[in-house]
Amino acid sequence: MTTIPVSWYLIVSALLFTIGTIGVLVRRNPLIIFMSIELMLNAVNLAFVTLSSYLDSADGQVFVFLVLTVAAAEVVVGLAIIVSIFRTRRNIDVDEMNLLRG
Amino acid sequence: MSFTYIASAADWARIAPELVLAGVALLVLLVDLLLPQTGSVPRERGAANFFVLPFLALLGVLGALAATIVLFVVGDGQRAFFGLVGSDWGSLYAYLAILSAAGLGIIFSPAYLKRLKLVHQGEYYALFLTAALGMMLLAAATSFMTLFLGLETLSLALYILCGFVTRRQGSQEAGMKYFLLSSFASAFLLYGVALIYGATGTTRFGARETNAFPGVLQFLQAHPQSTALLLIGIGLLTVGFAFKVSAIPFQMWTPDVYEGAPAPVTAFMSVGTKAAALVAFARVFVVVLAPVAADWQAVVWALAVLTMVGGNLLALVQRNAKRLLAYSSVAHAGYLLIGVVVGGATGLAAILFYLLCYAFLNAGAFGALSALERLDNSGCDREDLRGLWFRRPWLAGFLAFFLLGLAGFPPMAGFAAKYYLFFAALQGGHPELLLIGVLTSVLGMYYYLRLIAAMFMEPAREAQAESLEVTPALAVASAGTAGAGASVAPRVSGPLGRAASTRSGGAGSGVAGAAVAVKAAPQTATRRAPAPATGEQLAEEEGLPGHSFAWTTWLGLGLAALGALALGTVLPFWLVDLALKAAAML
Repeated sequence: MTTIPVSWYLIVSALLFTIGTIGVLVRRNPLIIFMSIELMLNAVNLAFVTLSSYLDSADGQVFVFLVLTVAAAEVVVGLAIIVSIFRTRRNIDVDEMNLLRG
Repeated sequence: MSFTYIASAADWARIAPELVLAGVALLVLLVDLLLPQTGSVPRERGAANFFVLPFLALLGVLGALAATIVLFVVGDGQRAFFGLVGSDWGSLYAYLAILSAAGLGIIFSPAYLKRLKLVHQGEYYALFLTAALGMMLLAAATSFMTLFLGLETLSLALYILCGFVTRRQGSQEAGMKYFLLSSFASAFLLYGVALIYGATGTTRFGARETNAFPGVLQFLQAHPQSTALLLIGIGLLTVGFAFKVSAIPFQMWTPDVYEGAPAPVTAFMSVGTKAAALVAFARVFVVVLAPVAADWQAVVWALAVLTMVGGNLLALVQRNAKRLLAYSSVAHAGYLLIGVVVGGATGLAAILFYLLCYAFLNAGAFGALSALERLDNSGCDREDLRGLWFRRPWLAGFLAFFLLGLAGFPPMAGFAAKYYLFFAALQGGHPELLLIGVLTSVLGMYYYLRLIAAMFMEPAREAQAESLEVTPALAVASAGTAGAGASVAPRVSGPLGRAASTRSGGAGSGVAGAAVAVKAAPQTATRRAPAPATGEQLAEEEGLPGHSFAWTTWLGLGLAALGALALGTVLPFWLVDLALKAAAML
């Protein structure tokens, strides 16, 4: 069995990160934008795990746990904000959010 | 790989300020549940909440401040938990700025919350303290893990605080925008960290003077040639940090969030986030990435110049005072980035001292605006500030004081801060940054002075002034109860009455105010006829019944002014010396 080289993992991670970035920039629904950000964070996790195994160091894996925990906390706060906006506006499109500008 | 967990008591002592804040944040939540209900007033609206909770939170901040000072005196300045958190003087110096801002923000809060009828105070103060805790962790971080943890702790707390005024769409919008853009930037920062980890094999920073816990610094000293992985990592890290310190072109969230967030929160976050993120920025780039300085210096130079020029130019066209201050804070981030470009002990010391001065000036300015802001986020436009001197001279005086300080006029802290920063630029061999900094500061004076001129020299427009000054009394009059009028009177005539109502006007006594209201009522009422809800809405803006806590605003303004004056006149020599020693330990 041949092992998959490290660079492939990193390329997949970079691809995921790019897809996430494009998602944030293109999509207009905050929920989808939020999912794209989660995708970016998971790309980071993949990179950390890969590098941790490659470097034989535990730092990367510990970092992944931190990122997972923080991402979960962000989901809570983010969805709460989105729900609170939906309650007053019945619309959560980010293009409609233009009260503050100038 | 096998691990053992060893944490000594000395490690815990080194993070004492953070521990105090974390403990008090939990205590505030608990006390919020235990406060007794008085009479028929719902528990969360009781007067005790408006006094006990901020008092407790303030005690927490003071406790953390005391712990910081104790660490200054008796601490060993070593890193805690195997090089994860610093307790060096540089971190402690940043704590001073962060805790000053947190304390001032808390002092400004009760009057604001009371006036806007925001009653969920347990969460408010707990989140306030948690955000301060995150900022301190970020400023003290000596590992990318702690840095990330601190960054997210402060961000998560601030997302909620920004959207705290749930009845105001602007506040919700601010929370949402801050949340989406900030997590986007965090992802960039994190990817940069991952790549740097890949290039160097560690997430620890590593200390300059000891090799006890080797980190990125030691690796780079051994292998100063930069790989592609490292370069991309530094690039992404720069994007993440530039967003957090709101450097142009990553500043787009700043004005929106600062405008929409409750003013006391803005007073706190505009200073605290900036202080923490800049100290972390300086530590990562100037200290840790020093061996590859040639790779990032040009980028940060460009960021600094863009931010100084762009921030000041964009502030010129703002009509809202909160947005204007937001862009001015962008410009100040530009000045601070000079310190990062210059580097060395002088550059870092200049940053630390500037942040401390900025804490008092900016928190004071936003605190003055917090007395003007209304529930629908109006009240801070330049039109509203016109002739403020004639209506509320003390408030106008304080606001002018802080604006002059931010502009950099000598007796206040702003001048000393700018002086040391520009001095560092000259000494560090960057005269072009000194030149750009001075020229853009002159540009900056224009918009500060124009705001002051609007307050002091232009009379408020007649119709607007009338409707503005009469409406609180009008709301009462239209309610048709003489008793309510009597309840307004002592508030207006009290020595602090000017802050009690949003626009108390020049009424010398409550009786005169009521008389004006009655006289003006028919005319104004016809004008407002199409909107029957207006009276009710205005009555709501009067805030919750009972004590208005306006004196807290004055206390905060006084403290901020005192601090700004002291930093500008008596203390700078001593504090800059301290900053120089602190910067050497970062």
